[in-house]
Amino acid sequence: MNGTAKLYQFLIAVLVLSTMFLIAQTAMSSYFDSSSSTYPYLIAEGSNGPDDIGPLECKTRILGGHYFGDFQSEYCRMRQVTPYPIDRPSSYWPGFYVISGLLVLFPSSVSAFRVVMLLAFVFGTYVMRSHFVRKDLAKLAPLLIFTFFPFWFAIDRGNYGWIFGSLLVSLATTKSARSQRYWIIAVAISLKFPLAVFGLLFFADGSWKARFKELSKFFGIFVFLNFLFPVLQWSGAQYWPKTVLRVQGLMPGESSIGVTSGDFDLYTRSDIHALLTSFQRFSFIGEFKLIAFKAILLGIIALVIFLSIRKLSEHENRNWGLVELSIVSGCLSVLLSPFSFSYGLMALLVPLVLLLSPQGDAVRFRNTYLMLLAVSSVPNAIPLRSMSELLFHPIEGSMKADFPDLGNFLIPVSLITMLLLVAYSAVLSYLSTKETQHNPVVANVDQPQ
Amino acid sequence: MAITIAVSSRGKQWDLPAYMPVIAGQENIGADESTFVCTAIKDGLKRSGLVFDLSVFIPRDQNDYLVFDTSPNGNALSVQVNEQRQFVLYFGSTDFGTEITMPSPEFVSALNQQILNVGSNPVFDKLRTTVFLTRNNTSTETVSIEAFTSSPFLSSVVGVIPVSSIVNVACSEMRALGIGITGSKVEIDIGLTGRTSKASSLHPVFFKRGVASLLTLVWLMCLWLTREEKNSKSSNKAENVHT
Repeated sequence: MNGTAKLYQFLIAVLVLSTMFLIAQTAMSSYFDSSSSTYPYLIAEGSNGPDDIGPLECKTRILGGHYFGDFQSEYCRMRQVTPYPIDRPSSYWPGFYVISGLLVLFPSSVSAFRVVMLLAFVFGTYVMRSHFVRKDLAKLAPLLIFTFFPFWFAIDRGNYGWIFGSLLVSLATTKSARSQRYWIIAVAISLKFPLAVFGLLFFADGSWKARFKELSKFFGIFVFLNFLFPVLQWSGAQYWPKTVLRVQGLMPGESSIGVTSGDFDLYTRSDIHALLTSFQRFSFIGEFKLIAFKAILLGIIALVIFLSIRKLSEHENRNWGLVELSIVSGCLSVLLSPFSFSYGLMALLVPLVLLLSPQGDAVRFRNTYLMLLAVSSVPNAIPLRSMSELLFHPIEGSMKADFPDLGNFLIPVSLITMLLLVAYSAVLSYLSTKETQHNPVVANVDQPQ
Repeated sequence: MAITIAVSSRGKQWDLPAYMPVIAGQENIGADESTFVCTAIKDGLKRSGLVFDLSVFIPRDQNDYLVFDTSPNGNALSVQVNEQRQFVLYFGSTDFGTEITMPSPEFVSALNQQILNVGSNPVFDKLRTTVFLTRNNTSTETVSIEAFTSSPFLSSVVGVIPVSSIVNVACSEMRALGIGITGSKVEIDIGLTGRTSKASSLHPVFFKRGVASLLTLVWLMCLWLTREEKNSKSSNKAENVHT
């Protein structure tokens, strides 16, 4: 299958899946009287603006009645004497403020936001075109990012750390950026620390000596941006390590936004935590039904793996490398990141682009990965509360306010399936390598699945 | 108990001496200079800022945890830690609310210790303080007042007050904005209407950080562009070899 057809197929799959989820959401709203939305609200918050933005001066409605909370909050934080005030703990590493500190040179959050968003679109297009260098693909490639729901969610929140961080990692996986990826990944991790797991990409190729050299350069840049530079530049920078420890999810109890939670809540913890909490939330249906529900989910994982393995060619001999490492990194970033909002799914952009672009090597289970990535990244937060009430008739008060939605199950289950397939693929590669050492065969890396 | 406040000037446009000790108990600035609302705030001044270094030698009252106060006689800026251990900003008799959450117990304990050990040493030595007065977009009748200091414990103190209550802000004929403090006034040149917003946004601390960030990005951009040159050079070389 050529690249254009693959790209078209994926874009159509995203369109179809999004439509299906939208229809399901509409049907749920009509039949179960559910008021929650699968899509983010693009409406104004209360008259005083959202609570997470900070000083009053920062609460400017940027587009219509909408606030872009994460952007406005950080813009104002950077305009203070120190970006680490004690009353509003920052969840960013100092490198974030070193990289994006130039935004304070814009006179207002409105002008700064416009420039940043324009840059996001331009840089997104540039990264996509860097992956898809062929002319016909280069025209189509920007659609990949512009149909990627987490990208729009990140824009809606104004979370430019996720946007630029993920795009930078994606750029680092291109062949043309091979010699520069040490600083690109250092900058990306400084912008969003959950992307740190993409440090695994350094082990994708090269000799151990080359890897050591590249890792040393990476640490040099990372230390410069996050440790040396801030101390030289900022008054009060010595307080940051303490602040970083307060990052939501890394410490129990009080979260960085000031919400104290004795229980695990669904929306401020990692996806793997959210999955466990989602099971807890369903405990009112009874132990037996809950076990049956978990068994169904395990069955789905097993079925997807079985069908994928069955399709696999018996004599297929492929290396395990960059694409698989990017899948592992993307999945772990989403599953373990303490911030599990939809913009965290931006990390999945890296494996997605590699799976579709000619820059990625041939991999086993490509179509399964693409299908699971599409399922994870489309707007799938269909609320299950009203349906569960109707089906299971819970005792009043037994359902908590943060009841899970479909995405709370769908995303971790899809990503765990992908990780299992990657692990299986690693075993196959290891076995075939051993076999080749004893009995050399010519590997056909271009063989389609 | 008296407070001793030291205000030092930053920048040539200031008329103040470099180090101006102000002793509590002196009279406030004259009514002709301080009792009218600054017309610039009413007529289009978006934002005005006042930056000064503040050194507090002896707190007024150990019991109410006064942190600093520009005048003990009211009609001045003060920051206190209240009974709930919240920072409260006062301007004159107006309580701007309790926007700041509880400071850490370590800070309160350190503050107490400082008060006990104060002697002749300042509690806060040359605390860089910035006070912003910002006219609100939604209501021309109110302004926000924010105080930032170089101490992370004393930042982003926010309050909203009616314009009419700012009696101690003055505009001089020299287009200077003054906030009255004991014995004198601190002035900053606001320039023409509309320029102050930009001027205050170019606060030395974050302006420096912004410029440093810009230079960092330029450096990274150079790294990227150099890479492209190397690639194109090597590909050109390869082409030449083929031809």
